[in-house]
Amino acid sequence: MQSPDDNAPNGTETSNKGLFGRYEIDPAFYDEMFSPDGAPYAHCRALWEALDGMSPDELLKMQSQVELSFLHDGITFSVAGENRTLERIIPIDCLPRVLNLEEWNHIETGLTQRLRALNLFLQDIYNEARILKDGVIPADMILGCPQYRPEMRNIGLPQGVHVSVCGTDLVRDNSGFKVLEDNLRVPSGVSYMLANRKAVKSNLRSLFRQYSVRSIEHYGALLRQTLSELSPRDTEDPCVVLLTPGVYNSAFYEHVFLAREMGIEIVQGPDLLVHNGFVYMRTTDGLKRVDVIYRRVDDIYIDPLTFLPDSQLGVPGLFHAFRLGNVAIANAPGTGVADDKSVYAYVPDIVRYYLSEEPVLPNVETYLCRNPGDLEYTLDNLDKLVVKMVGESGGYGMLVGPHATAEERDRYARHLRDDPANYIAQPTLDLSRMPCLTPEGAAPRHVDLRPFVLQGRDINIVPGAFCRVALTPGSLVVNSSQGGGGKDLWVVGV
Amino acid sequence: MLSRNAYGLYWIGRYMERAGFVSRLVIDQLRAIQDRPVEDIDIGWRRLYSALGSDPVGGRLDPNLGEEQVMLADVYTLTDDLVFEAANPDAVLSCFAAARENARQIRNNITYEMWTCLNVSYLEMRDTQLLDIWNKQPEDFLVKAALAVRTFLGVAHNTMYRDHGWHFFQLGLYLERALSITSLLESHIRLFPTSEGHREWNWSSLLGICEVRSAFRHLHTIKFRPNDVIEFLIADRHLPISARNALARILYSLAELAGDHPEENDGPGIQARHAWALLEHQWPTRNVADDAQTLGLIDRINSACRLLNHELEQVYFFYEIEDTPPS
Repeated sequence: MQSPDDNAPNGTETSNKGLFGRYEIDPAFYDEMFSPDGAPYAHCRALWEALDGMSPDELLKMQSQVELSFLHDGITFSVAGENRTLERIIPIDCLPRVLNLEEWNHIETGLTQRLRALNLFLQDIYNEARILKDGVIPADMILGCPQYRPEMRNIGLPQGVHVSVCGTDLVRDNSGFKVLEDNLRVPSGVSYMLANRKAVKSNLRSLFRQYSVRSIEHYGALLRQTLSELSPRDTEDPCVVLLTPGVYNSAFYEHVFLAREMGIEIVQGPDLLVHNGFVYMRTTDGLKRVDVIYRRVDDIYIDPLTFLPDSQLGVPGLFHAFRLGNVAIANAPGTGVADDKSVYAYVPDIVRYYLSEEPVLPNVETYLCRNPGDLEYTLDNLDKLVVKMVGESGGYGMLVGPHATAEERDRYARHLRDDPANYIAQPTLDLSRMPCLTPEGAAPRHVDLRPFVLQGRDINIVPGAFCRVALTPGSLVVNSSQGGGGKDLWVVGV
Repeated sequence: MLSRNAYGLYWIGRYMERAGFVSRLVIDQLRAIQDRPVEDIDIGWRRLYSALGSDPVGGRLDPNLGEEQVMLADVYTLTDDLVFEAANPDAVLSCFAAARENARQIRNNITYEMWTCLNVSYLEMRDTQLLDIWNKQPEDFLVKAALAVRTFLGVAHNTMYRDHGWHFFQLGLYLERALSITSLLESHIRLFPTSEGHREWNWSSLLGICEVRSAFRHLHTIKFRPNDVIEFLIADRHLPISARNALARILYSLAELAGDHPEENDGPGIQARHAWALLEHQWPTRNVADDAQTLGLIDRINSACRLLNHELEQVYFFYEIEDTPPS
């Protein structure tokens, strides 16, 4: 798929001067910009040439200006501090990641296939449950999953769409792209994809013009269209709102951003009420009926009458209105069962079962500790594996075996033996690397990417992603909550 | 528009106006300590806290101030309380923080320019402490704060779409202004009765707080009479900060919000028209030599404005759901 530029100099040196003068390529890791012999890939060559002529100081100055503008614009996420909630920016690395059209088409095909299958899976397990009866997936794994919502059984959803917005984490190693994780509940990060694009586009103006970078600015309009297509009411302009937990949620900026991009109201639980099975929002002109709720609140908080009784974030009676078909909720409650880390291991089988196709994008090899053989293997190889709790996300509850102390591994092993079904294990990934800006010049850092897939009547993907980067040298942790940063992703070519 | 958003806009208007008002009050005091006698400074603090309807930090003001060291220590404490104290909701920084927090929650209902203007001002101010600026020119910080308020209001005026959101913002701004100017005048007249021989400085200081000294001098160049100042600040048609002008703006915004159904839910309109009627019909016919009558009228206008706040909450922000909603 990749072909080094024939005109580039041969050898393992990426450049003997400039920004890339000290950049080192390690063949153990796929490099997103350079082939193993040190030449930039064809689609990265113009970027390499332009950047190599710039000094790190010049670029760092630009980068700090961008970060200051993020702070001024309020492009922040919230983290709990000792005495107060702190607002932090997600650091941006201004050197963009570039994918050519062939690579992107491969990703797009794979993600489309995957979301189609996952929606069919969700529709099935909450209705006929054929896949469980056929023994493709252990029924106890699904029915016993904390994210499985029995309340969702036998509810007819418009177009059978449970997941309208999906953020899939992809990694690349020397064998190609792999799916690391599906985020099917309330995936976040798309606002940073757009903010990073805006920042890089305005600061690398001439370079951006040289490339035919495919546009992502229509994401808001596409999301609005997708959500409108879910409306249970046959109207040209359904009332779509975004339900947020509020200003203290870590992704609040994103909620505001998306509501603005879509031109819809951003509401909190107390702004909504349910009357006679319909949902209304409280406006200065009285009550107004709501057709579609893009919820950025976790399942259990959306309705205290159905789920968590003491939730202050939800709307009493909302699930009843949803069940009656008077309001659409995106993503639907109960989608978390399909991104549970145990179920993840079965997604290739899910694709084959519903679509009779081979998965375009493979999974990362996964050991289910609920299986005695896998548990034994995991315990024997803790120093080589990454072990994750099935219900956790954001890098929490995880053991990175090679980086853990013997004491940490022993403690984790005890937890594993106590509750093996709660864990999965994966080999330590050789996440691809790419140049990142440092005061000493470009240096390699590990990256992944999270494209966003939308499903209404059709499946749509904007050609971009929130590209996450582990800013600490050698680190594999890209999560923004744990010190990761972001990059712009350019899909180039026509 | 969503009631919570309208409420947020209303309070952005109120907090920003209050931030400017408190800034100007404290600037006046900080300038006074440089060259005014102790009794003027002391009475200035009384006027200030009385206008804000709150007590000075640490309890009542010491009426026996005299030692310079003690006075300066108190000035420091009081200034800190009025500018930086997070526990004081009227403190300048608290007002900016509250306005910015409201703006953050309803960013979709304000313009990008308004948000960045407010956010940048707040970020520049938030890490400052009085200790950092006390030995230089502490009032410079407040001059910048007051300028930030004016800039923000100008940006809002020039960028905001004139929909309902704009009118709720205007209601908050002008209601706060009407409350501030009437409270300040009430406090001032109680401390400096017009019937007593006045010192021009006290009334000039009042005009300075309102930033209308030069405008006043254009109208009243020869004689400086307290009642002229009162008339100017309460009833002048062309003065942006007069109570009359604030009420006119409130009435206009209420009419715009009521639209084609002015008779429905008219609680706010009733209170605003009540205040307006006091200004239009009773204010001109009062006995200007009778401070009690003047104070009574100002107090009634102020009370009507407070009730207007309550009515706005009842009608637009937190109304009861009584009827069956439309399906």
